[in-house]
Amino acid sequence: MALAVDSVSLLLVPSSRTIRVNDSLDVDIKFNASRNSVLGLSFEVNFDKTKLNLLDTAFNSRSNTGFTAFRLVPSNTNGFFQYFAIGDPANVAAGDVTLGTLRFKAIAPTDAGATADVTFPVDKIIAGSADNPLLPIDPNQNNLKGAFTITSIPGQVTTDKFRWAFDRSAFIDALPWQNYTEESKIQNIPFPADMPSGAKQIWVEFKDSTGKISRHNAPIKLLGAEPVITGCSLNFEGSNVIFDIRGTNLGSRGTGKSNETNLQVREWRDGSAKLTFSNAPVGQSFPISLTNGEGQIAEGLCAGSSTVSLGAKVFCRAPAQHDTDGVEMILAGGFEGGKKAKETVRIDRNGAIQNLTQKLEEGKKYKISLKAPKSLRKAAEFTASSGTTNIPNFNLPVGDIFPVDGGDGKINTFDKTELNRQWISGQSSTGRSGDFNLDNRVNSIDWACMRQDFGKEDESEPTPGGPVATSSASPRP
Amino acid sequence: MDNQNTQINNQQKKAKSLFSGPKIVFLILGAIIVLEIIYAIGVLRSPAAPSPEQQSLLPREVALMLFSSKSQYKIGEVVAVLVQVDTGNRATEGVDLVLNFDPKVLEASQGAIVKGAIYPEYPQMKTDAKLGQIQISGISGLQGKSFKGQGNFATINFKAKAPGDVNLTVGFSPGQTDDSNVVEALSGNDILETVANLNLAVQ
Repeated sequence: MALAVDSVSLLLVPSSRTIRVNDSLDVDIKFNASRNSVLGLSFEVNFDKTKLNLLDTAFNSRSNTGFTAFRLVPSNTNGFFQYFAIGDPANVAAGDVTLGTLRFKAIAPTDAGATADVTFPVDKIIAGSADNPLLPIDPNQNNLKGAFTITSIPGQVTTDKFRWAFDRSAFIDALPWQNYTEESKIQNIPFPADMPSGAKQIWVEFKDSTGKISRHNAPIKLLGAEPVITGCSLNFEGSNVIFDIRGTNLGSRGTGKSNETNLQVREWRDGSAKLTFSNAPVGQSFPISLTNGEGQIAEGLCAGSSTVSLGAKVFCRAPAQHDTDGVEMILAGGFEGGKKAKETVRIDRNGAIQNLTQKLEEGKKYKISLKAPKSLRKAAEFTASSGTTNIPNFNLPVGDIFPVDGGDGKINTFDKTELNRQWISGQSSTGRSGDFNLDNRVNSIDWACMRQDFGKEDESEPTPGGPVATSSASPRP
Repeated sequence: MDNQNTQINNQQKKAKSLFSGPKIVFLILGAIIVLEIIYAIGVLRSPAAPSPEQQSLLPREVALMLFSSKSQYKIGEVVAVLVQVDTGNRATEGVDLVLNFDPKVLEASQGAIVKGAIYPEYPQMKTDAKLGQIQISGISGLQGKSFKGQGNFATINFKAKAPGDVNLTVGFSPGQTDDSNVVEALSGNDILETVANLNLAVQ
């Protein structure tokens, strides 16, 4: 008498359950070979990736199941899990065998009356024996689908408190707890000004609603003060250009680049560096980037003529793609007998001020303010250097677009309303004042630019004479 | 009962004879062929899965993704398309979605867009029925409520208008700011890396 060929079946256990957002859900996958000596098995599990996230999988060994899984493919991006296994005919398990478990996390609540489904597509279940390479699958099984309801009611155990320290020995009873009010809470950690740079640890303790305390730590590297380039002169040696750079916090060693070209380091000190650009291209200005031993970067410009550079990220924290005309500049000598001059200049895409008619005296202090179309007035002070004087971290606040005939020296709700009025993301439109990055769109990129300086106002025009009292360029965050 | 015992004995004998002598060699060869067939069928039937290096249980690529509950619709049916954003755990200031579709097959009225809750302000929710384009922007707003993680950006309730296949495509070129964007709060840059489009059929 020949063995009967019965349908094989796959089951999900449980096939329904109500869980909460953030709860985990373990779903067992069971297989019933129905007396067949199954030599190979593959199937796919589809799940609602908008509601469930596959966290982990655990599959039992051959001795328990009669199957050796040789390929497991989880994909949260596509919402599936694929299983491929070799069966062991000498170890055929009878009845429902638990192949393994899929652990999901509920990530979003289901709509009223709807469920987050986990299914075995019947056409993706393939089981074969030596006698029958494609064993029949019963498509009418009611356990081919798991339907889960996810509620938005938060779980009972929550993280309630937290506290942090630089050293775990600081976790004493007297160290106060703070309320943990939101998931992924961002906590500012102020470092003491006298704390030396180097490797540090930050320790955090969390207390949950049951009073249980868990402790975690993260290693960090505390960096020293940011390096800046304050001045640069250039000289020629045949086809090579020598950059004589002045700055602060450059450290004892580092590397330099001009655009993508590595520069050869001749000398490197904390306050200066000398680098060579071999076979430099013909040009009058070279963007310079210095990286110190800590990996901190200082950017500046080196030009052949005497000029002032603000850096390439003057507008909207991004390298400029265009020159900016019509910039109102006020330059005042910050020394006894210094004078004040007002002129209209251009800021080129490298951040260099063009059309500057004022002559700067090396070593003397100056106050400068700049106001570009759609920007607020920003002031800074600097000491004139030979060659190119760099004013580090100078960013013009952009977004003063209302009233439409030239702004009012403030970036406020009126400007935001005007930006919304001009909003256009799908189609090209030129000439809109809200298009700060000049890509012919008024969209979230422009909002991010305005948002950075929202609520700011024009800074005061600089006045000549010393001592220097106006605000200086703020350090980069 | 006797008949059942006889059947079990027969099965045991058959199983015993299967694993003895040269038959085991044929059995193993048969098993290999079956596995090859199963593997080949499995691979051929699988959707175009990303390579193992790209697969991750916790996808961190910054993405805009389109979903629908099914792939085939009848004329007159509502085609609900969910737009999800994954910011890769980076705080974002806003998202611009430019979604193109065939207006001969699908119809979208001005009220077809249902905004999500991940941003407090949606300054633009626009449909261009003639061009076949949806433009939606959600931003942090004046409260500065940035968003990070995975969330529902919007739902668009199209109406199946005429038979045909339709591709819903997110307008996106890496690095371009004049199409769909996910804008990072820290840098103000477009950090969108990938999109998942949707192919549907109306019958």
